[in-house]
Amino acid sequence: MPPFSAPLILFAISFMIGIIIGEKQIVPVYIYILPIILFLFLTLNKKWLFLTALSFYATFLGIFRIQLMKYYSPDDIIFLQGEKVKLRAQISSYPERRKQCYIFTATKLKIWQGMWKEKKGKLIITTCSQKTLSYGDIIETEGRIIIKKGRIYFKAKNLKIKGKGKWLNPFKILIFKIKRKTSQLLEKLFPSEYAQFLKALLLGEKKSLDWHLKEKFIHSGNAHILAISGLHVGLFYFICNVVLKALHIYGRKRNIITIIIILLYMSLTGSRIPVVRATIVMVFYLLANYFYREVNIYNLLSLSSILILFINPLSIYEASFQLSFIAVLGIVSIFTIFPSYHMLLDTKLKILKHWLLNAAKASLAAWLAVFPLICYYWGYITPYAVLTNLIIIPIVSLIIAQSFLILITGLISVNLANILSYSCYILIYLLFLILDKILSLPYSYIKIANFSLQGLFIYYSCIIFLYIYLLKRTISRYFDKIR
Amino acid sequence: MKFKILSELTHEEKLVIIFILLSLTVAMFSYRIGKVKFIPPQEGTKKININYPLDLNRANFEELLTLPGIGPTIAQRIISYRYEKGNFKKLEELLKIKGIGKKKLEKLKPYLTIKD
Repeated sequence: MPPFSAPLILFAISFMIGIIIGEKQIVPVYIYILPIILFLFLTLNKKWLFLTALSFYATFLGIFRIQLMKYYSPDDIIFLQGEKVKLRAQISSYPERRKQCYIFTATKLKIWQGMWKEKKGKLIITTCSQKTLSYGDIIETEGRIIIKKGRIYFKAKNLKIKGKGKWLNPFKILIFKIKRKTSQLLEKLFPSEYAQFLKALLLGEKKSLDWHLKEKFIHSGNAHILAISGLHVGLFYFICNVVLKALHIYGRKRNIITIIIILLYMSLTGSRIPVVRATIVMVFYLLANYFYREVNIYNLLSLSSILILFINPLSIYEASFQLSFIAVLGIVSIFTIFPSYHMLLDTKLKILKHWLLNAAKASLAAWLAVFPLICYYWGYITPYAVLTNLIIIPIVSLIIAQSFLILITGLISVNLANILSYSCYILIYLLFLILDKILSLPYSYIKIANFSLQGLFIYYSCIIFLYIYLLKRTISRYFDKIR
Repeated sequence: MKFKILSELTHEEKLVIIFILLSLTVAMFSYRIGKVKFIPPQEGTKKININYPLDLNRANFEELLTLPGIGPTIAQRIISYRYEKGNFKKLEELLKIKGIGKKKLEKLKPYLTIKD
């Protein structure tokens, strides 16, 4: 077994601690960052001192980063918080539709103060308008600036479109065009409820999803399917590999093409935390392959957490960040310590049993890691989730693979895609039927009192201790067998 | 299985790490220059021990917030004015700031001075 070497774990943990300390505003320690770098130089040859200095540096970097979030340029839009203003701005994202309303981000802001004055920053604009908005439109509107959870929102009224902006990002134009075409095609091929579900599943457009449909997934313990994450990126990687193999593209070329396609897919789905996490892990895994280097999954996860937190440190408090990382950590760590039941696998139907056993182990591991957090945030338990995942994940994987196929054929001929869509239709029907059956079972969804923070702490420390104990036992058994 | 955290990093790799960290820190410090702290209104109303009269050219955002009739917006405008056009030469110059009229200036005068 190779030595366990994951230097980034220490850095990531210290960085997170720094962010939490910095958020509480205990001490302004960022002044000490430069001296620590000097200290790092001096301790180059001393392993433990270097490590200590590095973790201190990471902590201070976290504090510095979160404190930087509170500083803005004097003409930033945030200083107009709570004020009613007249605004002119350019749409800089894909305007997502939610029934009659739109939600999008806007930049190049100008505020009317006797004359149009430029302001820095980015606004998330919500508006209910009959007009068709698209990326690059310059809009003029009135409304109020509100700050919620560190983001700046603007509720727009009387929206007018004033033409198209200059210097648009061609990459974004392409991505949004693909996104619009895809959702139009899906709407054409499927009834509205199914199209909504597929849009959420493939493009991450969860906002247009009906609440009762969302509730079905949440109450049956399968809400993770609607968040685009490792499952989707993994499947996408698999499909890419198959297609590239058919085109006789091998080796390093295939790696590079797959990386580009996966990155495109990430921006297509709106770059939310779980998909960014999965993409970073996948891209670095492929890069490591490209340079013939070994990878360590803990290192990759730490790296992706550092990158995500560096871009937006406040995401550490978001449930999606915590759930996404803890579920994967659960799967990769707890999975290894479950017994492997070799005797069971030696009989007939070896592959099927092997697959079922592994899937059950992964499902149980993820559930064990995640359920206290779900209790903490939303206060419910879904006891059948471990079993239902075994049925639902294969169906969803099939749906994703089929809908990719449908979309590709849709590019060539809509009629052909229409014929293909029937098999996907049956699968979605089956999925909804299974969800309804699960929900009709007794105790499928139990509401409980919310977990306390101490409860969470005790649970996770127990899990970690148990993990270390079982890991040691597994390793010693492994060596005993070798002897 | 051995638990080694940094065992595989060579001397050169460590140097590269330090170089990356150094450039990151410098970048963050330079990003900070010219930026103003934003304090949400509810936090800005905390009591702070301040000796009046305040020096208008040196008072920070929190100190300006303690003055009568000055909220986060006007405090921000004062700081922006100082940043764009340089120091105030006399208190009457405050009239150029949107939201400060003659009445407000009279109220503010006892709390403000201009030191050289």
